[in-house]
Amino acid sequence: MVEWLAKNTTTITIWAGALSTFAIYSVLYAENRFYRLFEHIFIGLSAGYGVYITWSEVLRPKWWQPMVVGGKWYWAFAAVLGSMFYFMYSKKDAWISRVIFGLFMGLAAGGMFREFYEIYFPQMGASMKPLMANGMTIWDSVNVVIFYVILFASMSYFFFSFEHKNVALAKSAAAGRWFLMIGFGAIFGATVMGRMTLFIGRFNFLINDWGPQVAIAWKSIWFKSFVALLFLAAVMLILIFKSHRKRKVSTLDGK
Amino acid sequence: MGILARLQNIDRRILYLLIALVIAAPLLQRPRRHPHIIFSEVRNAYKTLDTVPKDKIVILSAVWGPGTRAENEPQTEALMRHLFMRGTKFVVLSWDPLGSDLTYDDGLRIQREMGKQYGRDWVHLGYNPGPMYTVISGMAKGFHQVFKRDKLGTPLTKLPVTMGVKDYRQIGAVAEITPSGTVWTWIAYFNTPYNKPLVYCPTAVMAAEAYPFLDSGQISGMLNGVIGAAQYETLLGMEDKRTYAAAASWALSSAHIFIILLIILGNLGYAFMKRKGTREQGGRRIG
Amino acid sequence: MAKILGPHHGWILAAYIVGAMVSGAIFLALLTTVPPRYRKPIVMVLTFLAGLFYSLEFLLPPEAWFFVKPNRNPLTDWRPFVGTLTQIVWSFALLLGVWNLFQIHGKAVVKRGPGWYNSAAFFVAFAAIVFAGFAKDMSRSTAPAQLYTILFKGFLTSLDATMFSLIAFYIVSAAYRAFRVRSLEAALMMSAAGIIMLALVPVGAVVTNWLPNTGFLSIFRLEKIGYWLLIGPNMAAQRAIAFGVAVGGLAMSLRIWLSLERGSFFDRQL
Repeated sequence: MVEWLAKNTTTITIWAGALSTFAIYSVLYAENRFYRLFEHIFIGLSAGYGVYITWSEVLRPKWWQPMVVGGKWYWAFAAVLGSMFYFMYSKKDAWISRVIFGLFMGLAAGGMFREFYEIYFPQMGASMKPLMANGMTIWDSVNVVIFYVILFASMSYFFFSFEHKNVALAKSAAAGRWFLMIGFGAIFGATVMGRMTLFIGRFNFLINDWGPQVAIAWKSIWFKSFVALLFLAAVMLILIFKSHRKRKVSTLDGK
Repeated sequence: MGILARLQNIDRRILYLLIALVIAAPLLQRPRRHPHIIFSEVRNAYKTLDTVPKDKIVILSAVWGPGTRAENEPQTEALMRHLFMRGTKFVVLSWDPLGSDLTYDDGLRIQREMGKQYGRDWVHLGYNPGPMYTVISGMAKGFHQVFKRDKLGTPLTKLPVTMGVKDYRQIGAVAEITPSGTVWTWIAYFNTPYNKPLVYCPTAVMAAEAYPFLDSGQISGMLNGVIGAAQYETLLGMEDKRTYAAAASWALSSAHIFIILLIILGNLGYAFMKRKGTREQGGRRIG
Repeated sequence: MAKILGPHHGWILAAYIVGAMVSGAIFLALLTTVPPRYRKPIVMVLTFLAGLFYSLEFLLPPEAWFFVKPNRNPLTDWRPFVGTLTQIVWSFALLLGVWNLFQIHGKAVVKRGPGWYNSAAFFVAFAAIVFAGFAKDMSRSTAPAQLYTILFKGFLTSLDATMFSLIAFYIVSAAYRAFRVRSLEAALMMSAAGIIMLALVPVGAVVTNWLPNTGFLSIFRLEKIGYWLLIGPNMAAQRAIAFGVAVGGLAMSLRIWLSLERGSFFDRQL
């Protein structure tokens, strides 16, 4: 058994991947139990894997080994701090979990000065572009003008602290909304590209990794029979599902 | 008009089948032709990693997991190939639990292809959870205090790649390969304070927001999704190789044309239906 | 102090560890006796003190006469320790989610309601991968490693990737049924999106390949128009958005640091 597993691990892995892919994609046809089952398997595997990897790659090398093997006993206090999260489940003492969450939130909030300075001050500096300089063509100057117009118009759109009563400000904010549409269009176009790529990745796996496995398996008569049975079973399930739906609709109409 | 009305109610499952067919054709053919147009941010990314001093290491910060593997894995592989080709040592730092094993397998596969050795040419630091900013700011000051062992449990002081790395001074560049907004943490806590170049490899969704940072120089170069990876492969001299990135770029071409046609068709049908509805109401606009 | 901190080994180490755990437990027990009117101030003070670390580390100079020898900002030297400590403490929070899942699915299995077998499958999958992972590290046999490979590469990564890829289908459906150009602004957005979508992929260059590569007419090549949109108008608009986000983020961070934030989480009775 162990030898068979060792010999066929890659094949089993690819078939398992294909099965998982079709199970999830079955929801595109209709909600079904096959999809629900694999969804729960996914959650179980994710949670279990998280437990394993957190121990093996984080807690054991960074906490357990330095404490128990390295002799640094003070790391035991990290476990005390970590246990404070679990007071969340106590009705009486849930506030203790707020202490540790507050510590983390405070730590993150404290980094704002550095983040604001290091991220946005260079942005402000880069916004001060010369209209004319050595080496710049007329087209570069036009681009700088366009840049300033769009930047100031878009920024004026975000002045929410007061009403845009001034005509110039109102018009600038309206123009800003138009220019922001170009930015949103860019984000939308890029989003379509990104999401399509994820599907292309899965399809590539089915065609170029699973496909050759199917071609190998197809040589066997048992596999051909199994596929034929599976096809028949799928057709029957779809027919049963459809007639079930028709009966349900007619029952509701009858009421 | 009847056709347009019927087309407005087309079953979504037919659309799903059509997109699958549209994408299947380039994937079955697996064209080897890479994009011949290389964006300047991809060239700059290439130049950045090409000019890292030999006595410094590069950090490949991989925030991705299986969910965005289709976009981020080709980027990771392209960067690894480049660094192996140049002989620049690098470490892989994974922030996603599943991505840790995936990036390790990628490194092993490419290492075998290029005759490199783990420990001598590259190291994987394993999965690192927790607030990124604390880890990055700590690592900049004391590398071995934050990262004690590699993914396999070997102390970093025993590996040739990492034994001499004490702090930011031994790090030549950072490449952030991510599906989320984590690059700002590197900019704030490492690259801008210590004046280190940063190559950004986002999924396409995040790329549009990065252009202001490319303009200011805070990001040295960028690989925009799988297209950026395909362009980078062209720069690596792989323009005639059958790779997933090349096939995906052509599959994306057909997918984009299909989506644009759908949007146009959907809006044409909507406009005609609206006009028909207005005409039927005696030319008055209702609503 | 150095003698107490160690490192220690053997029974002394065990005693120190047990002592640390016991004192930690006593500390937590004392916390449970804090009267309600002092709880919020304690959380506020600790949040503020935690925030002081990175703020002062940045705002104070790296070297100054008022620091103790060697006149260096001591907070900078503590950064690696804080980095490791936060990683470790954060990792302990992992079981929060796992415990929640166990409660939900455990109840479903016990009650044997509809679909209870899905919850059973959750437990089986959880146990299988935890067993395979730890067994692969501890056992000499290759079987656990193979089981781990099948569960991780075969099932887990495929399921994760497929879940994410479902969005592509919803975009296709939305493109046909929901993306309606009802105004000129929407038309501008869609046009920009369409040009950029074609410009980024190889087919965009093919569409306008008949135009020359250099000269005045080359600016009408699709990839050049798309690229100009990205580095010109898009860049300016994104920078304006970034400035807005920056000011909002700064204000939000200050409110959290000073515990001025209001809302269901912050106003809850402690």
